[in-house]
Amino acid sequence: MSSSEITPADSTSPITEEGIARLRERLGAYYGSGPHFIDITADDIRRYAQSNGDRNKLYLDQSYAGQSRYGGLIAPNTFLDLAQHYTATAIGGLPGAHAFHAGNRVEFYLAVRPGDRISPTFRPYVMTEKHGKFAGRMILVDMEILYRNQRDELVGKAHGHVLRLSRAEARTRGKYQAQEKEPYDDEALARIWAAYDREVVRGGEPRYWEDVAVGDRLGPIARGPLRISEIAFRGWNGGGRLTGAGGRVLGAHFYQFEEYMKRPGYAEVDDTSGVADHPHRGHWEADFARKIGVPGAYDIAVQRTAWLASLVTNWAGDDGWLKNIWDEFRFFNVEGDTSWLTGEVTRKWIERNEYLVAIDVTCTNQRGEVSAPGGATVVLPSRTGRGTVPGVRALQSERVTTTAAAMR
Amino acid sequence: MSVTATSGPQAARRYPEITGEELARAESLVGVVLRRPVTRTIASTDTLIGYARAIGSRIPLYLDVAHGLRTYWGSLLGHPTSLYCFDDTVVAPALPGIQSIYAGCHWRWEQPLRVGTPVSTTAVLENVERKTGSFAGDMVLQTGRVEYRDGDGRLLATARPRVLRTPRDAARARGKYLGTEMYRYSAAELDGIIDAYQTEESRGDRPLYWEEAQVGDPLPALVKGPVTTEDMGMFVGAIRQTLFFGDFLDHWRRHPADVYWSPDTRSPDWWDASLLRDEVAQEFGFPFAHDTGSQRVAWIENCVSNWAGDFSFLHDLDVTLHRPCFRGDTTWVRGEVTGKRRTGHPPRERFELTCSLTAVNQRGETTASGQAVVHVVSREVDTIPPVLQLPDDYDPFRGLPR
Repeated sequence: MSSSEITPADSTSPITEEGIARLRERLGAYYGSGPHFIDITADDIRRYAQSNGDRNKLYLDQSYAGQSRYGGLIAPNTFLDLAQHYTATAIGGLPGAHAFHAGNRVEFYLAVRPGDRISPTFRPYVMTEKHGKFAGRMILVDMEILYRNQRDELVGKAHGHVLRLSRAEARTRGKYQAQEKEPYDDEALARIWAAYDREVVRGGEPRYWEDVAVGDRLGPIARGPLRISEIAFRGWNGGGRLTGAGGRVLGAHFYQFEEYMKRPGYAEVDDTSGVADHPHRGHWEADFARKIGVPGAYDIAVQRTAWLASLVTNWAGDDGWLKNIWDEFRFFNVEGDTSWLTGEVTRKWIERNEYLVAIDVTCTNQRGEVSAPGGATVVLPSRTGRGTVPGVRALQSERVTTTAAAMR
Repeated sequence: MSVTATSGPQAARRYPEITGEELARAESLVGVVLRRPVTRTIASTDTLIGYARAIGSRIPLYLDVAHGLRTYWGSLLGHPTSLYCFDDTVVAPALPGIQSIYAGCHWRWEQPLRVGTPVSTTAVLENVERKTGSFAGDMVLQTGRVEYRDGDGRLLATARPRVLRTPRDAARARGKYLGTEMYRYSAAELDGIIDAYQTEESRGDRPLYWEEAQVGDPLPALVKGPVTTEDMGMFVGAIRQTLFFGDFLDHWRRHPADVYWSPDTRSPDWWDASLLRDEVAQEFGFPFAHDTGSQRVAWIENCVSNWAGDFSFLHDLDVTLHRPCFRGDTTWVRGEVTGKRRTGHPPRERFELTCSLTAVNQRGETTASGQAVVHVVSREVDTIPPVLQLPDDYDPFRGLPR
């Protein structure tokens, strides 16, 4: 084998008719990737929570979590992304086309705990052709990912939307070329840091459904100014996986070459050294990000989903349950940007014995652009003592009681 | 490269010098057990496999659970240097604002790291020494000691790291490495590297017998590179705990000199960004993003482990780092058997092989060198794994020494 096989000299647009046809053939078929985490540990959970700036002790402190309704440490619900990225780009097709995460909707059924083993299966189910200013012709692929644990219980389900496009086209069009980095003045920085100090984790104090009114506001909490280490080390910290690679366990050196050999056109050669390098390095290499039409080193989009989830769980307290969350990534969140996360209660209702609250969540950057609009549904405890809050499995003792009752 | 003092908070581009006062403070910390960030507490399957992949290792004992079960260890093991995941051994207290550069480490392993082992660490500073060198003039060398213990308090290994503290302004002004240019590889060179990856030898479950090893035997060469920011980030992600958002802010407030002020945003950033971005590395006199140093210690260990195989136990490895390894560099690790020795008496006899090791980059510069001591099995006394022999001070009434 030789280095010339890694990058074919011919660099026409990767959005080809054959590629689209190939991808279309894969629609509807389920793919399994085996567990990405063999055994989830408290370390993995803590490192993941910390990488999102989440300071809820439910994810960090075993003895605190032992007192909660979970009876032990649990992972933030969005942890599932580490078990399999919501975009699941590993299905291939369209070799050489870049993949940008465009949005997702995730539902959570059960808390993930240390010792769990999550096996994801996923399938692409819709493909849509799009045209946009950013890269011209683009292909939007919708993925469904099912997460099952070692007891074959469905822990969560995600719908991820991934945009496949030509890097060269995005570079030429330069939609964001004019976007400049604005340095923060002392006052702006002080305002952001004050927001960190004010961030409240409700924790063990229940927020009752009856006490919530439509129009109640959440936040704001701040995440920024975004630093490249917060982008780059986020995935690696979370158990050594980089999210941009679909959550697979990657490797360095030999493993990189192995990957590039298997996927011709996948690597992008570095201009100065001539060395094949990973196309997701735009997450921390600003020059490469500009080469693919992004104004700077950009976040792992799903970080914003995790921050929005923190906003909601901070507010709901440990007795509530984040039932689902969705968001769309409308703008790039680049190095130096500050995301302000806010929410507003829009609806309250009772359904299937669950006391539910719908919240509009929004991620707005310092330029005032809404970089990720979204929404979340939370199940809260009721003052009446009625209603169930999901997330925990029915206790063994409850089952025994039920069986005993049935026998009587 | 221009260096300008801006009027940002803390006069952004001015870094402290080594003062007598701070040096005295560093000396006063000798022998004190240091508070360290907790990166991990348990050697989980994912941690061990993740580490092995992050150093590009291809040894099944460290990568494949099923293979581990078939070896006489009866378990997937961690690479000897995977203990970096529990403490990165950068023992460099005091001297705020002075860059820490990993200069080497002397590892001594007592037990293999089995999957599932809880690991706790203690770190102390052992010595502080003034140094002078071409990189930054007056420098300080801090030697530490990190002990790794398992859940029963038994010693797994001791690391004696050496960290060089280099004033950033002086290093930048001297510019020792600033003339270094990004290496441009020819297609033939890249093909040679790919070829080396594809022919990499790992002994695996074929024992390395003491009788068969001779002084002068070469160890199979190992290539790592050309390293990318991806490779470096993956290693750092495996061994360290980056601070994020509010936690980072708290750290910065406690240690105001321990941040890099980004000229773009005029907001503080983590120094580990120098592993990903050239401009940050240039602040302290490196032209390009660089490796952590410990990464090369790991590669050298990988070379020894490739050669020694599943039946041997790496007991001792002392690596000195001579030059940085930059983004785009390729490291060739080579070694040679330099000594054979039998120590102790049956049944505690040990069969020791010593080897010398070097790491040479594509420019022909030696970036690191070291020595290793490996306990191997002998045909004479059957294949008894060296570690399973009882230590000399074993007392059956008191159990294993702590």
